[in-house]
Parts: sequence; C-alpha cells; structure tokens
Amino acid sequence: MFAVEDQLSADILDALDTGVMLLDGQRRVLVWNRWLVAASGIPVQKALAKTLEELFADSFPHRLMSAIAGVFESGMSSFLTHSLHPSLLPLKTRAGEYLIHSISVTPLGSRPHVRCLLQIADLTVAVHRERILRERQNARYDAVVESAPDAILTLDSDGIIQLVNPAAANHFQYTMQELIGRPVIVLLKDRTIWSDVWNSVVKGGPSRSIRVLGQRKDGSVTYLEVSASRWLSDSRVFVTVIFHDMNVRRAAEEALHRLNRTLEERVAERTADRDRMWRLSTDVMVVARLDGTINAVNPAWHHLLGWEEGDMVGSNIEAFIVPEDRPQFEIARAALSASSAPKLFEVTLLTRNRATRRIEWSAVASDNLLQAVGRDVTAEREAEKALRGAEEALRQAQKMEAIGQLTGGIAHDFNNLLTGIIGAMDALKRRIAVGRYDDLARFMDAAISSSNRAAALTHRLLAFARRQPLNPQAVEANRLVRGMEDLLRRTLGEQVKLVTDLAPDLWPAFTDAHQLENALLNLAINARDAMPTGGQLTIATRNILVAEAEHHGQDEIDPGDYTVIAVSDTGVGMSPEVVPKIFEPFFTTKPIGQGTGLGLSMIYGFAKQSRGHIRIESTLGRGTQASLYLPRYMGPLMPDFLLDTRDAPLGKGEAVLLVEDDSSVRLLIGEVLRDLGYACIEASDGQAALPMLTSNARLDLMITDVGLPGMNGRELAEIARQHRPSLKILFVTGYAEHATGKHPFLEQGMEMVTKPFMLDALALKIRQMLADSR
Amino acid sequence: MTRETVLSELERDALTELVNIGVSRAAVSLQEMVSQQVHLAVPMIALVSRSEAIRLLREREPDNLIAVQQTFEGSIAGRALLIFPQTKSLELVRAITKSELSLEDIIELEQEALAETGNIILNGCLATIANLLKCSLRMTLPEILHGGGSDFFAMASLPTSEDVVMFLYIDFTVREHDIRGYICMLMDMPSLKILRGLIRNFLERTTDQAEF
Amino acid sequence: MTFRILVVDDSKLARMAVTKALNALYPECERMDATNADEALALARQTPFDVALLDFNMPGKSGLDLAADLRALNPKLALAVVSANHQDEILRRARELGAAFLMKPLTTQALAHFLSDALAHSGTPGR
Repeated sequence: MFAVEDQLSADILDALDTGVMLLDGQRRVLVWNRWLVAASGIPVQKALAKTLEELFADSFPHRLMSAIAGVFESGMSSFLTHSLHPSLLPLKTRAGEYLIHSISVTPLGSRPHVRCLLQIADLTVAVHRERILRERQNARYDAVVESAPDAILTLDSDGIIQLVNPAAANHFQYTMQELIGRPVIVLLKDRTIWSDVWNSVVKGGPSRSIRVLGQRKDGSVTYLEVSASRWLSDSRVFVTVIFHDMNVRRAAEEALHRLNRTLEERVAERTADRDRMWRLSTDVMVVARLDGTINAVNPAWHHLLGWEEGDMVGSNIEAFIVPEDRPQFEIARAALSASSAPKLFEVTLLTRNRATRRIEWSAVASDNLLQAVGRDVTAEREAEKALRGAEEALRQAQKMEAIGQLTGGIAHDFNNLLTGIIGAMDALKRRIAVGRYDDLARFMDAAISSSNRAAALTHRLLAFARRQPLNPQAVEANRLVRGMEDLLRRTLGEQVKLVTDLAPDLWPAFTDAHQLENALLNLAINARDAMPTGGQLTIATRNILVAEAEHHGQDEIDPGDYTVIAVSDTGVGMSPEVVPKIFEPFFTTKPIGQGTGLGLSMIYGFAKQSRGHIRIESTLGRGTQASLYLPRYMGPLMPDFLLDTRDAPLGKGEAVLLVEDDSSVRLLIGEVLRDLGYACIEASDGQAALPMLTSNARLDLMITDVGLPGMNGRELAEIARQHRPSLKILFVTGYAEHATGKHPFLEQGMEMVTKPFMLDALALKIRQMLADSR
Repeated sequence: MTRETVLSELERDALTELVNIGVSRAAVSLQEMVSQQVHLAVPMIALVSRSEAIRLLREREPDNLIAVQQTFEGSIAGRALLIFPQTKSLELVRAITKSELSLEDIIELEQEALAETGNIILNGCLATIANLLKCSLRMTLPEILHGGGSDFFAMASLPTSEDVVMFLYIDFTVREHDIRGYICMLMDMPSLKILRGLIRNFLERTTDQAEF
Repeated sequence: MTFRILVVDDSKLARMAVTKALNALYPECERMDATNADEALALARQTPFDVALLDFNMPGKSGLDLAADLRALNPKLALAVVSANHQDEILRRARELGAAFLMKPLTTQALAHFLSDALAHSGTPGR
C-alpha cells in the first residue's frame, strides 16, 4: 500500500474483505490491497505500477478493458458479473478453487485527474450455496417432472415457455431448446379455448382440466387434456401447464363413435350379405317354427328338389321327408327344441317329381325358430354304397378264391365218391339184370354212403360260398371241428398232419357256425401254406377266463369267459414286425398270385363282429398260433336228441300239399311222405296248387320248391297265408342263396330245407313243424 | 418554451442518431460477450413529462416492470433507465446467457445479468452522447428496480415539476429473441437546456466543420 | 471531378454531415438523399449512381438488404454501409456484397479515403 499516504486508509483497505484496485490515468496499479494479494497471488511490490495486461497477460475479458476505458474516456461506471463472464480475473480462493467474483469499475475523482477504482466481490460461497440448493431442488424436481409421461411446461405471465420437460419436447416433436422462449400458443390449435383457460389461470382463478387440440412441429394435430396452475416467484407470475396425451383415449372414443355411427349401415350391409347368401347358396336353407311349420325357404329348394316357395311355406317340413325318415327327423326336432346346441342329422327328402335326395342337415333352434342348412349328399352316399358293395364283392371273391384253393383237394375225393356211387349203381344194375338179388344191399349201402359223403361235402362248399349275415347262436366248437376234420385233411394234403386237442368240457361259443367254419378253414389254409415242406397242424379248444382286460398290440381283449379255438402250425412263422400288420386288408406274406390277403382281415372282422378277438403268436422258423376268442354262450342248449334221432318219425294222416316242378323229386318226396303216414296232395306248380289252397279241405302243411316256374314258392306262400294264415310251410331249395337258416321271408311257421337232403332229415323237419302247431 | 419545442426536430433527430450510435456500440460489446449477432436499434424518441411517461408505460405495459438504472452527473444530471416488462427481462437474460440454462438458473442470474446488460447499453448511449457532445459526465453503477413506471419516475429526488423524460423505444434482437423495451432519460429542465445547447454546438460543428 | 452519389439515412443529421463532408471533398458531385430503402430504390431506378452511402440501421429494410438490391440494379456501383455497429456478421455481409464498411460517426478522412478508392477503381467519374 505504498501509494496510499494515509496509514489509516491503507490499513482499512487491507482489512476489507473485498478486492480493491486503483488505476491511474495510464491504467497502472496504484492500489493493490491485501485481499488481492491473497486472491491473485501477486504481491503488492510486483503489482504496483503495472497494467492489468502486464499482471494477467490476456486472461481476463475484453469487456474489462472496455469498462476501464469507459471510466477514463466517458466517466462511465461498469459492472461485470460472473453470470455473464465464465471467468473474469484469474483469482483463487484459499482452498485453491476458482474464486467466483464480480467487478465494479468506477471513476474516482474528476477530470482530468480521473482514476479508476475496481472493486472485486467474492461470490464463491454464495454461488456454491445457491448451486447446492438448486441441485437439491432440481433433484426433487427432476424426479417428478423430468420423468413424467405428461408434457409439463412452465410459462411466464406472457405465455412464453420458460421450462419444458423431455416429455413435452417429445410429444410436440421439438427439442427442449426450441420450445424455450416460444409462446405456448404455437403448440395449440384451438386458441380460443386456451385463452379462456389462460385468462382464468393467470389471474389466479381455479384450474380445471379441459380438452384442447394441440399441434406438433410438423403441424399434426394431437388431442390433449390441459390443466394449468399459477405460482409466484419473487412476485413474478409463472404458470405451469400439464398436457396429458389423450390421443389413445380419443382414438378409442372415436372408434366407438364411428362404430355407433356405422352400426346401422353395417347391419344393413350384413343383412344384404345374408340375403345374398340365402339367394345364392346351393345348400337348401329353411326357417321353420319349432313344430316344423315352414316360414321361409331359399331358392336352392327349387334348384335341388323342384319345390317352389309357395309349395312349402306354411306346410310342415315333415311332408317333404320320406316317411321312413320322419321318426328320425322327429327325434332331431325334439332335441333342437330342447337345447340351443346345433344338431347334425341326415334325412332323405322328396323331390317334386317323387325322386329322393339325401340331405345332411345342420340345424339350430333360436328365438323359437328352427334354422337349418342342408347339403345334398345323395351322390356321396351313393358312392359310399357303391364302395360298400365293392367291398362286399371283394370279400365274396376272396371267399371264392378260398373255394378254388379247396377245389384241388376236393375234386379228387369227389371223383372217388362218384366212382364209388357210380360203381355201386352199375353193379346193382348188372345184378338186377341177371336176377342176382342176394347181396344187393351191400352195393346199395356203399352207394348211399358215398352219396351222403358227397352231399356233406357239397353242403359245406355251398355253405361256405353262401352270402349270409352273421347269425350268432350257440355253437359247439368241438363238434364243429370234428365235423370239419375230413374237409381239413383233404384240404391240407398228405404232407401235413392234422392233430386235434379238444377240451372235454368246452363251453358253447356264441357265434355264427358257418363263419366260424370259414375262419377255421382259412386259418388252416394259411397254416398249410406256411408249411410248404409239410408239418403239423393242431387245432385245440380251451375254456379261457379273462379276468382283466388284456392287451395284444393295439387290440384289447375284454374281461369275460371265452371259448378259444387255437390253430397252430409248425411252419416258417413271422417276424415280430410283420405280426401287427397281418390284419391289415390286402396284407399277405404269400407270393403274388397265391392270395389276396383278405383272409386274416376277414377273420379279424368276424371275431370282432362276434364280440370276440383273434390273437396271433408267431416265432420266425418255429411256427404260428392263431387263437380265436369267442364269447361263451350263456343260454340253454337245445337237447341233442332232437338233432340226433335216427328214427324217421311217422305221420298221423296229416294232409300235406307238395308243390314241386321236378317230377322225379316230386315222385320221390311224395312216396316218402305217404310211406311216413301222411296224406299227400301233389301239384307241379303254383297255379295247380291254388285250388287246393283256396278250398276248405284239410291242409296241415305245404311243402314247396322255391324255384317254381311262373309263380315262385314265396309268392305262393303269401297267397296260401292269405287263405290259411296258420298254414305251416316248408320251403325246399337247391340254391345256395335261398339256403339260409333265417331268411327275411321266413315268417312264423315257415322253414326251409336245402337239397340234397336226407329223407330222414326231411321227415324229422316235417314232424317238428307239425308237432309245434299242437 | 413547451416541452415539445425544447428541442427542434433536427435536434431531436440528432439526439436519436447519437443514441443509435450509442446502442450500436453497445450491441458490439454484447456481441463480443455472447458470441452471437446482437441487434439494437432506437427507432424513435419522444420528450414527455414525467406523468406522461408514467401513463405511456401503463398503457403499453403490464405493472410488472424491471429496470436497470444508472444516474449521471456532470454537465447534465439525471437518471437513465432501461425498462423491460418483467417477463421480457427473463427472455433478455435467456438471450444473453446460454439458452439451455434452466429456469431456476436464469432467475438466479437474472438480476446480475440484467444489471450488466443494462449497464452496457446505457453506458453505450451516454458515453456516445458525452463524447460526441463533448461534455463531461459521470455515471454510477447500475441498480435493479422492480415495479411500475410511477415507481421508477417518482423516486427521483429531483424537483417534480418541469421534469422531462426522454423516452426512447429500443429493439433488442439476439438469438431469434426479439425484445422491445424502453430507454428513458429523466432530467430536469436546466439539464435539458444544457443538453440542447450541447446539441446545437454539435450540429454547428458537424455542418460547419464537416467533422461528421 | 463529377460523379453521382446516393446518400441513404433516416437521420437528417447523418445526411447533413455527409453533405458537409462532400462539399468539402467533391463540391461538383451530384448528390441525392433518401431517408429509407424504398425511396433509394425508386431513385436508383430513375437515375444511375456511381456511389451509394447507406446507413445500416434504418426502419424497414436495412442498409445491407438495400445494398444487395442496388447491387442487383447496378453491378458497378461503389457501395458503403455506414454504422456504429461493427459486428463481425455485418462486416462479413458487407464484404460479400462488395460494399465498404464505414464507422459512424463518419469522419471526413474515412469518407475521402473510401471515395478516392472507389473512384480510382471504377475510373468512371471524371470530367
């Protein structure tokens, strides 16, 4: 403080807690107080008589030089603040930090001896305190505003944006800097609504949420809900505005609105669509009351069935259904009336020209109306029927093939039998011609025996070839097997030995005897083919009780009592991979040409139809065993004596009408009947038989051939029953297709015998029939 | 002599030109500080009474005004004020400082930043007048005033009668901000008479000696 | 030495000052005044000028914009923009338009320097 003469003044200057510097007219330092020494690090001796440029080089703002110049040139005082100058003088705090300060530059004295006084105020502590407070405030503020999803803007009282949050910048597509300083109305489309809000809020009025239309930087419109509130800072008014994005809700409302607006339109459209569908559909459609009264039908009825709308509306839908399907329709109608679930059913409809169409219906009942759509499935069903027919034919063909297989074996035997018969007859004829009657009976017995065997053989062949439905009844499998032994031996040939192992107390099986024979024959043929170099075929029967369901492959054997017939061979066997496939249709292990492969699949079908099973066990190189599980028959058995009686029963003079076109057969049967004690009236055809039938003469039984010339036996039987409803009728037929145990046309009191028949069997049948009427 | 005739049209024109030169120089100073083009212009000047000045402000602006005031003394004496609506002052500060500053920062900086900005503008005007009119002036440091026109003009310790307010509009443009404010010079009649003499001398100089 | 000069300034004082200076430097020159850009352009369309002195800070169109318009009318015109506002941006734009920048208040020396430069360069005036 050399330049200051007065020691007191000097002391005061040094004691000041502020920087004081005095410059002379040449801008050289005259006074440099202790505060400055500490802050600048420049000692007084070094500072005195130096200019600021010399002391600080260029590390202070140009503005300071201008301010100093203003003092000397124009007597101007200047104020330099830290807030506008990142750095003023390079001053440091005691801690070595940058000393935040402002500088006042004022003239001292008057012209021409003006000096320039610089006062430097330390603001470091104040600024830091402010900064900390602000940061603390900002942290709280940031937490709320910076992360808010809503656009938050602070406006001054002119509506100029002073502050925005990131959401605001985002929403309106500006940067935050771009928004600051702009009037808020650039963000608003309908400014009248806003100005009402604004005028109220800026006066301190209540704030309420209001919807406004905003606009983004690109001019696009945005739906907002705005709420605003006023606050004061240093008597300065600010308004903070929160814009809530309403676009999503708005879009939803809009969609709802649009939906409502277009609902009628759409209903009309849909109705038109439905009308179009109704008109153009190739499916028949009908709306009817629950009782079946038709309300409306679509044009498809006309196209498909020929019916006009006028024919149908008001009528009951049942009238258009073939009579036999009406009960089925009734069931469907009742089900529809009872529940709203849709139903599928199929009925045949009558066309206007009395043809029929098979229609598959999908129907539903609602609002007390039946609505149904029907699809014409006639062609489909016909195709299915044709397919079924083809399958049936195939099965038959397969059967015939089996017969073909048998033929080779049988023909030889049959020739032997014929040879025996012809030979015996020949011998008889010759002996009678020479009058030798002594041992005729021996030849006659031989001829009859051979003939019987031939008859049995043909019977079996016919039965086998016969088309017949499954007719399950009690079957004694042991007897059936025994009865087949001859046939099987002949079929298997000399290289294969047939062994039977029949359980003594075998349960009767409940199955179709003919089909069972067929199955066993097929199994035997398969077994034979599996033993090309010969071997042993064993047929065993057993009672088997299945306690719990048994699984064999995909197949399941239900619990129960079974009669099991097992056919085993000692042949080549099958590999485990092949076994599961053998029931597939057309599967075969045989070389092409030897078999169609339907055999086992048919046996499988038969077993299933009988509610039984078939089980195959096979070991490659060791042989195969096929076991047929047939359900045990639980009912009473017919007494054996009825079937086994050998004595031809005698008649008691009952009147029998015999209608037979073959005179030799008629002669033979007539002779037998009279021998047996019946009164026999013979007729050669139906016409000849009628007078007898329509007369009042006693008649206990009519025996008629089925295949009569003109009126056939069946038609004759119908007429006979018209006149004599309780007349017993016995049909005689030589045709396999007639020779079925339970033929549809066989009514109560009717029976059938197949040619050739043993006279004893015929007598027994007649006796049984006449006995039943008593 | 009425107020309107205190200065002739040419004298007013000369004074307007002097103030324009002054604010142009201030603009240069500000530009150096903010590194942005700063435009300052004073399109018109009016001499009005103190009460008229108060009325003018009240009619044009809200009650919340902010002013930077410096007093001057020397050949002429009075007060110079740079007046903005309070809201504009924030904008002004935002324009002068970095625009990305937060509102709180700006509010905090407002007083000092406005003081220095006003200081530069007012110094520019008065220094130019003093230099070109060759008169000696001394100007105090700036202070910030809040309030309305009546507050600013009534607090003078000068006699209320015959006061004249030299009323100038100032356009301030920086960083796309366009802010209109007022420069007012409040002086008493003796000062105005001296000013008139100085202007006349100046006019003579510039027309006779062709120094202008 | 005679030439045609256009002086544009909204301040009468400024125009008078230029007049004084020109009277001293080039008494024979033809001088026309305009108080704003529109007047100046109207005059320039009527009469070709050799030199134009334009105040930067005028109500309406600024001196720089006017300079551009006049330059478009007459590429050979010698131009000067006069202002106390010597910010870099203004200097740069003046330079781009091929206009000199003269500080306000305009001194006789500065004007003399500009005019002698301009006249020598164009070689136009001279009687």
